[in-house]
Parts: sequence; C-alpha cells; structure tokens
Amino acid sequence: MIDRWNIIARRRAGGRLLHRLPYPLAWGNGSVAIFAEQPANRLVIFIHGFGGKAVKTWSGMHELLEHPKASGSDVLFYGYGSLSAPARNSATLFRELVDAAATNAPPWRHALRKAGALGGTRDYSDILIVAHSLGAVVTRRALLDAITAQHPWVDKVRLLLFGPAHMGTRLPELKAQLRSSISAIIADLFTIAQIRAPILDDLNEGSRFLADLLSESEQQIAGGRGRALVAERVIFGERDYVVRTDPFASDPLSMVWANEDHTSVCRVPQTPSEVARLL
Amino acid sequence: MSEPRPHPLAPQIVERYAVQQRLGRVLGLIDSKEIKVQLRSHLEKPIFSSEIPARENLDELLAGLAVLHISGVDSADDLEELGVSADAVLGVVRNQHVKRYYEKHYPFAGPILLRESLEGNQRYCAQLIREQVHPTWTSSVSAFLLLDAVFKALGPMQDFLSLLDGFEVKGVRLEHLYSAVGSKLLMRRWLRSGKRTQILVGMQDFFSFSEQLDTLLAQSAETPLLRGQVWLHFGYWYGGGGERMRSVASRIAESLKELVAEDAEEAKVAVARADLQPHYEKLRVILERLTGPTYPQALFSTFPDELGRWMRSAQVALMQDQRVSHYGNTRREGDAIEQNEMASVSPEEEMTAQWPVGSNPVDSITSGLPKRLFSLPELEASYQADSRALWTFMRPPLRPCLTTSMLDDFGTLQEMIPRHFGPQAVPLDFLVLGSRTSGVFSFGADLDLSQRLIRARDRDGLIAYGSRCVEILHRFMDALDLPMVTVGLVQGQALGGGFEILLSLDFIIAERGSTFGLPEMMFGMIPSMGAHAILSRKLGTAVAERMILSNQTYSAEAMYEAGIVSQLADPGEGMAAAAAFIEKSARRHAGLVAARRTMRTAAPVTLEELRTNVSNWADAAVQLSERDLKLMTRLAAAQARMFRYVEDPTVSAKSSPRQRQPNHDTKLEVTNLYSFELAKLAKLARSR
Repeated sequence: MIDRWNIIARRRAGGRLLHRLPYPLAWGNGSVAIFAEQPANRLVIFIHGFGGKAVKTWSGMHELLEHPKASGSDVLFYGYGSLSAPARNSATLFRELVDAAATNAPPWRHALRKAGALGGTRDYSDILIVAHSLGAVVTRRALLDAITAQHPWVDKVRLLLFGPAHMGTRLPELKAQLRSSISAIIADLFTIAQIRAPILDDLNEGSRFLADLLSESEQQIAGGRGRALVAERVIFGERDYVVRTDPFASDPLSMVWANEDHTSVCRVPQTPSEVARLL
Repeated sequence: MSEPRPHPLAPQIVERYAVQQRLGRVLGLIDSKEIKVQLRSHLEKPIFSSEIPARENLDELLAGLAVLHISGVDSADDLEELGVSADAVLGVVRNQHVKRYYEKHYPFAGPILLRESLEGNQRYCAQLIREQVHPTWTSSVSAFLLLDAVFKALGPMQDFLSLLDGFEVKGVRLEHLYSAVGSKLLMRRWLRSGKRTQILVGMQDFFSFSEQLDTLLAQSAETPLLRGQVWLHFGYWYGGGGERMRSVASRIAESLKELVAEDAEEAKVAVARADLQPHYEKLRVILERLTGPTYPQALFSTFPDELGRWMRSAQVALMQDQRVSHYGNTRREGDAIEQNEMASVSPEEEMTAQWPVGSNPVDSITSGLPKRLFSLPELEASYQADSRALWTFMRPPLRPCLTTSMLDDFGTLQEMIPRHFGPQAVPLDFLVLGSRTSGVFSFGADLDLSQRLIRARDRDGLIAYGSRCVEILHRFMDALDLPMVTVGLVQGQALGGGFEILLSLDFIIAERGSTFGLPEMMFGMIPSMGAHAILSRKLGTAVAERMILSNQTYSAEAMYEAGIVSQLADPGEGMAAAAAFIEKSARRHAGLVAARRTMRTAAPVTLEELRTNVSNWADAAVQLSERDLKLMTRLAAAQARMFRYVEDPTVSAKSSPRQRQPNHDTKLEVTNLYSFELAKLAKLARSR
C-alpha cells in the first residue's frame, strides 16, 4: 500500500502540491477531506458499504489523487455507522453532508477555513459520488429525499457504484463476509444480544425499504426528476456472492471485473482509473 | 542520493497546528514564571478549569512539533525555513517544567525525539537522514498524515479511549463493558441505548484503526526510525490502554464462543468455534504486535534512557519481554523484526551502541528468563541484571485491589521465580514490589467480591478467597525460599490487605505522603491477611490491637517512627530510594538474608495461624448486618470513583486526541477524595 500511497507528496522538493493536508471532518464518523490546492468546482465523495470504513475501504485511492484529472477535485471519504444504524438514518445524515458542501453552508465554510482551503472558489458544479454496497443504497435514499426536498444540487450529482446492494443481499454470505472482518465485530455484539441489526432487515432481498427505494426511484425517473438516480456506471466483482447483481431501475448494464469479489472491487489498481474516467 | 528535505506538507502542519502563535503563548507562560504552577502534575495537585486552556495550548504545540518531526523537520534550518524560530522551539522543549510535562505526563513522546534531533544527537540524526532519502519515506509520511486525520475524525473512539484510560464516560466504566459483553441481557440493554451503542462503535473503530495502523507500520520496515516515531505518536494507547484493549477483545471473543456453543447445543449441531471467529485471531495477532516491541524497537534502542520516563508514565512495558541488546542482534525467537532494519547500521556502530544495562532501574533486561514472567497482565516485572533485582509492580486494569485476577498473577509470579532464579540459576538478591496505580499501593481485599460473597452468606467462598491471599502473603514472608531480600515500595495509600502484603516483606520504603491503615473494623470486620499475627510480633499485642481497632490511617512518618517503614523517601523519589537501598545493601546482602531468616525463626508466623485468621474473618463477615454491608458498598463505590472521568466541558467529543489528553489533567486528585471518603465513613462508623 505504502509504495503506491503518494496522495500529496509525490514531489519532495519544489514540486507542485495538488492537495492539502488531510482534514478530519465533523460529519459522520471517521470522515476525512482532502481539499484541492487549485479547486475546479468538483467534489468527489467516497462512501463505504456494510462494515466498511471511510478510508480503509478505498485504500488504493491515492493514485486517483495523483491523476491529472483529479488535480482540482476536492475528495471526501465519508464514514457512517453502517452496522449500527438503519439505512434511512444514515441516508439523512449523508444528505446533510452533501447539502452542506453543495450549498457552501457555514459549517462547511468553517471546515474549509480550518483546513486552510478557503482559497479559490468552491461552488461545486459536479458532485461525483462513488459508493460501495450499502453506500449505494444510502446514497440513493439520500438523493430521493433531496429530490423530495427540492435541493437544487441534486442535478449536479453523478453516481459510480461498486457492488451496490440496492437489489438486496444474500444474508448468509453477508454474515460469512462479516465473520472474516475486524471491522464488523460490532455485528457480533448484536448476535450476543440476540438483536437483529436493523440494517440486516433493510438489506434483506425484497425488504420494504428496498422495495420503496426501487419504486420511488422509478417514479422519479419516469417523472423526469430522477436523472441523478441513474448511475453512470455500475461495477461488480465476478465473485460477488454477497449482493444481488440484477439491474436497478434505469441503471446501465453493469460491468463485471474478473476474479474480484464484493469488497476487492473498491481497491484494485483499476478502481482509481475508473473513477478518473468520470472526472 | 537526493538531499533529505521535510515533507512538502510541513508548512501546512505549521499552519494547521498554529505553531507560531502557540509558541508565542507558551514562551509567555515560561516568562511569567507561573509555568511551574500551570504545568504541575495532576497527580499531585488538582487542576482548575481556568488553567486548562494554557495546558491545551501547550498540548497542541507539542503535538504540532511532534507531527512536524515525523514529517522530517529535524534541524534548526528546517524550522527557520518554515518561519519557526528554532531558538524559541528549543527554549520550549528544553524548559525543565515543559520537559517534565511531556516526559512524564503528556501521553506522547514526540517532543523528546525532536529535542534530541535539534540538539544534534549524531547517531539519531545520521539514521534519520538515511531514512529520509529512502524511496518509501515520503509515501509513508503521507500515509501517516492521512491516518492521523482518520484518528482525529473518529469521535466515538475518543470515548472508548477514555474508557480504556480508566475514566467514566456517559455513566459507563470499563468494568461495565466487561460485564455487558458477557451477558446477553446487558448487551441488549446497551444496544438499545444510543449513548452506550456509541461506546461500542468507538470500540469497533479502535479495533479497525489498530488494523490500519498495523498495516502501515508493517509496511514501513525499511524506515525503522520513522516506524518507531509513528508508533510512538499513537503508542500511549498501546501501553496500559493497549493491555486493557486486548482484554476487552478477548472477553468479547470468549463470550461469543460461549454463545456459539450454546446455540450449537440447542441446535444439536457440531460447530467449529475457531472457524466462526477468524477475525478475533487476526485481531489478537494485530494487538500483540502493536503492544509488543516490534515496531518501536529501533527507536527505543536508540533512546532507552530518554524514553524511559515516558514509557513508565504511559505504562508501556515493551522492553520487558525481550532479550535484545541493540537493534535486535540477539533478538528472541519468533521476533518479527526484519533483518533489513540492521542493513544501514555499520559493524562499528553495532559495537559502540550497546544497550546501557542498568542505566535505568526498571527497564533493563536479561536473557534466559521466560517471556511469561514479564508479560503478566496485572503484574509488571523487570529484571535488573547488574543489581540482581527483580522489580515488580501491580498494574490492575481497574480498582487497585486484590482481585482474583491479581491473585492469579501473584500466584504465577511466586511459582515462576523459584523455578528460574536462585543460586543455580539467574541470580536474584532483591525483589521489589510496588504499584503502577498513581497514588495507591493497594486497597487490599476486593470489596466487590467480598460483599457479594457475604450477601450470599457464602462462608466457603470467603475462606477460599482469604486463603489464597494468605498463601501468597506467607510465600512472601518466606522470601519464596530463596536467599533474597524483599522490599515493599509505597508511593501512596496502602490499606487493609494492601498494608498486610507489605507487612510480609522484609523492608518497606515509603514516600512521604503515603498512608497506611486497616479500615476493616469500620464495617465490623477484622483484617483477613495476617495483620494481627505480624503486627503483634513487630509492635506487641497492645499496640497492634490499637492500630487494628482504631479505624485510623497512619502517615508514612508515623509508620517509620513505629518501625514498620524502614526508610522514608521524598515524594516522587521512591524508585530512586529503592534503587539506592539495593545498591547500598548489595555488599551486606548475605547478612541481611541471614538476619531476616533469624527473625522469622524467632517470631514465626505459620500458614496455619494465617488460615485460622481467615476462618475467623469469614465467621465475622457472614454475620455482618445490612448496615455494615452498606458501608462496605460505599467504600467499594468510593474506590470505583477514583477512576471517574471528570468531564471537561471545554473538550468536545470531536476534539483531537491531543486535546483529549487533558483527561489526565482534569482528573481530580482522586486519591485525596478517597481519603476524604474513608475518613467520612470512619466517622460514620464511630458514631454508631
């Protein structure tokens, strides 16, 4: 990881800095922003999936920050309680973050000031959300709510989805995946307590939450207000046994990366290139 | 080879931490002559909320300087280039009060390294330069800066860290968490409470953070000093806190195993438990690496003395379970340190940089001793070869009393010492027993356990517990059948069984301000571990009886006058006094051993007598009234309050870890509060 991890400091002497010192954000949990030195009104938000972590899920993403097309992009890694909170609540909190950033709200300006990133304009004309698994579900729910609330920034949003869980998950496989991850020990505590984590209900194939998500999305798309809900690209790993890979609403046909699984698609060498293609 | 230069983000670090502004404020504080008062130890005097901003300003400055140093700022020129006055920085990091603050109370040791670097420690600087031109150095620093931001962004984790640090957070203490992970019912309650769920999320975050840190450190093997610097930046949490974290993780794993077994039994299916929990094994390995010597090895080998004080204050016991003299050339089997750490150290350097054995009384190490002896969870041990002394310190994770887990460790220690030390094995002339709990030697019997047994009228349980205590005490009285001298080092309160354990040792060295007492009579009990037997032989029955019945606490000076304490030391000088005692006594060691043996023969205390004492104690205990039990409960609660986290309203949950450090400083002088509580209860008991 380290050999490739050259987010900002590629050139040690006299080189041009593309991004600023990573800044811990007050939104979500473990969220970090890396602001561009020369902002180009573009915001890229990474949102992890079930049991993921803001930065760790995307551990290969440093290469994106070195990519010329990303030089003016503010990059934000968003973390949230993927195991302990219902998806709807996570979506509301995520929407608040995007809203603050897109409208340049006072808390966002405060963060910019504290990060020393007030130079240049930051009136985002393009917001690319890169979401994994549950993150895709949370994002779509947040966008639906934003459409209902008539947030003007919705039309600026584009989606790139990795292993989206919007068509439901296979719970045994999901649980098996959790059993191998340190990031999911809290799920064991739900097991000890014999409480079914609310998120499991949300992600269950055919759940009311997912059914509503699909029908509302289709309705908005049919009504011409849901452009942002249609993903620009959907990518699955060939060996993704965790989520259902059926297409969602008007999404394009998905791409499948050979030999990858549900989580590895987020951190293989082609992941940053894929993101860069959309910048 | 390119010219080593600081990381390109160094100017932003200066800006982010407001280094220049903070530097000015700290220099102002130094000039005001109030620095001694402002930076006093929270362990000695209470810290007032009005003083916190100045301390936070210093915390943030020291944090900024440490991050700058990790980012390659290691000379006066580098600082000047960043617009920071090197003289001003040196003025701060060399100031004796600031030095004391960051070496002893400030949980991060980064400023120690910067100071050494600015002062031109040649060996360190030469190695730093080698690392800074290594192709991976810049990317490793970048990864560290990102991880540092992640650490600061994890709000709930800060709560969990406070819990690990022994504080009460949102009405929860670590022992509550322990109970919860062992009970379906309690865990259900926790997960239905938002505040408590946040603590669990914080715990989860810390485990995940540890995994990320481990990955980063494992991949930085080619820059061992940088790896040590990064470890040190977070190292405080892998000292005492790390031990507790391991304990939390293992308890969760154990609880799950039980649950899985239960479910499997109900479903009548065979389940391979280990297969269900590979992540706990992974976590165990990660935590072992982070709390072990692998990552900071090179750094601690370079600065054993400079980092020694910090290691003790942060309860980092890394060097105790290894047999390495320098850069791992005699590293123990299985140690994962890569050979390339040695690659840039010349044979000449290898020869001239030997570990200065004996330069620090407790950090020295030797070969041929079992690792387990030096890795007991609640008893820290280190062997000093040149003085043939084994230093042991009680380090309970929660209340400083004789819990069953503490007794287990005492039992293991007493079993291992005769097997590995002695005339035919590793020489051992002195055994020192002290405590790592600030202000407390020991509160004696586990009141929590005692009251539960008493309420259940479980006389057998009480006798079993008391017997274990006196067996340990009696083994100490016999000096474990070795020709050695035992020394008790008291740097705070020694009450009840804690006092009695001291009485079983040959000599007691006490810091002025320490107190001794036998509070059992307060709630209608008698001391259970031999106070009657030993005190009546030392002081005569009349004086012993008065002491036991009085409910009073006695000062170290009074105990010295009575002949119980052998030597007094000034506050904070107990360790040095014990080391001096050992040095002074080395030549007359044989005489001391013979004298103590003769004394034991002249006034023998048999195990049988102590067991009878326990039996009397149990008889008295099961007859306690509800009112007496309530007093005992209050005393137990007062002990527990010692670890209460005094919330600092000026520090938000989103604060940086640096800002959280005043946790220590906002902790009131709890030991005094406890004394106050004890006096109140004694008065209450007398009035009955």
